[in-house]
Amino acid sequence: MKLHRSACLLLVLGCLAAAQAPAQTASHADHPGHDSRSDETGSGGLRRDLFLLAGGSLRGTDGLSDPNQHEPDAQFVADFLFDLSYRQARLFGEYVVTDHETELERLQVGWEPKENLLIWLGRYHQPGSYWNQRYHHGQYLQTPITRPRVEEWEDTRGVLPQHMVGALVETTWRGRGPGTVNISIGSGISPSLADGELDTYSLLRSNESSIRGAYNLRLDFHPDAESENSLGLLLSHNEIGVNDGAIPAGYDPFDHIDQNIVGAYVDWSIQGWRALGTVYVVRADFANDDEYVKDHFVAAYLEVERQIRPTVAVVARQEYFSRADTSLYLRLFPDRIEQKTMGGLRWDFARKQALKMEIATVTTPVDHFNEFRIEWSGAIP
Amino acid sequence: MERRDPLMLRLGLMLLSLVTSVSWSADRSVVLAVANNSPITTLDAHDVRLLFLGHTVRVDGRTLIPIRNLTERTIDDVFLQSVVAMSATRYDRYTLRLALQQGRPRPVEISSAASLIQNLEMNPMAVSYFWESDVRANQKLRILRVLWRE
Repeated sequence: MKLHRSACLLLVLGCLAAAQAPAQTASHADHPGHDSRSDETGSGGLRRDLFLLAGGSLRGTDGLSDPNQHEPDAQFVADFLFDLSYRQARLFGEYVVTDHETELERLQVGWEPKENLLIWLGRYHQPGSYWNQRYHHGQYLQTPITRPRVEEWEDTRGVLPQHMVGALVETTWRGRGPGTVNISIGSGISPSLADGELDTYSLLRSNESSIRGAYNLRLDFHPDAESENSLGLLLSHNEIGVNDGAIPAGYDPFDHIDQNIVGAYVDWSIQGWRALGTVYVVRADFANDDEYVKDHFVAAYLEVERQIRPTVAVVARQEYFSRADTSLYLRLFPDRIEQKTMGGLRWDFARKQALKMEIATVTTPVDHFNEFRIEWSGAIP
Repeated sequence: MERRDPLMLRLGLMLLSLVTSVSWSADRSVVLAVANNSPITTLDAHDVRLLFLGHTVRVDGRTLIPIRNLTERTIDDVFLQSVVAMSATRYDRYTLRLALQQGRPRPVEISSAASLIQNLEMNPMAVSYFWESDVRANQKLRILRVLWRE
């Protein structure tokens, strides 16, 4: 059934309103004038949370000539999130409004049959990206302004599928020792190839491409259950369909792309230092009937952060793509890069608010330029 | 005019300061508390930590609900440092991330003492932290365990 966009938007806003409205079973006795997020402790077990992650940034460049790397000088994003939880049932949504689009990023219905097992149905972020699982669309949560290019969303220059529609299972395995292993498995509908970008399967509009599957897995090892340190394995198989007219000139016709990704990550903090790195080995086979044209590339980044004061952190990151100018797959994306070196500063100047600045030097197959960014981001409430 | 013995005066002052110190020290204890009508009778330190770190903790099959006490900054800072070992800034980011990742509602935050107690009474599965003296002065609350003592 094709759902009208405005009707779906109303549905989402209704969910947001429900999350904000008093729970029928809850007491609402917080005194006026207090700025707390209060009284969601409904005696019937209903809990809810509604919050906004907002950000605004400015960007300047030096030496940029490649039009594919142009971005608006000023950008704004408001990320509305709501959680509803009733006993073992969950409802979760994320709706993003930016200066250039509005999008229902996630809408998930969940069931937690027992502790450490959560089953979701809906539109979700695929678990094979550690960065996106950790920060999602929350600009405020990530230390720097920008995310690594390989972790970008499909509609903002991303080269790997990130949004799926289907089922997601998250569970935790505890052995005899203190270590735990989190397992996240997703199976859903993969994005398709549009003109120079990936086109995600939407819940709010009709979809052009045929339905093709995606299977994603992430294994995280934590040295103990409460630790934020982890390292893990990232595996994905994405079948990327092709929208009409999406095959660029110079390519032999193909029906879809079979993409297999093997990756690993580490996120470790020691005495105020933090290292976050990921490497992906991507194989992309262009399929036409029974024939395949094989392609591959490697993408990697390493970010190092140092908390120099309780509210001030410095960050540096190096990103790298192999075969950026020769990979058949990467050449589908005109705004791809080869390397990026970034340094930045974050200042948490008030509760749930941060100012960040960043300078970077970027190398693309056809250009080399510098960029400067400054951003405010925050969470409300 | 009779003059007091300086030694006795010093001893008296020492005794007074000791008594004051003991009573002040008792005030400076943070305890985990529930409403008197709550079925929760015990909660070990590990489960308290897990609960406020966003994990599901159940007692008799019912899910516990953590409430963050923001009636004053000191008790929140003491609790976060001693139980979850985080600053308030880091804890805010942590709970936001958990809500983003797993759709887990963040701990309820309440900055009014009356509202905090009323919420605990309304939901027997809710737990929060208080100064010990505040709980002892309020018959609607019951101490589960001492979390921190100065």
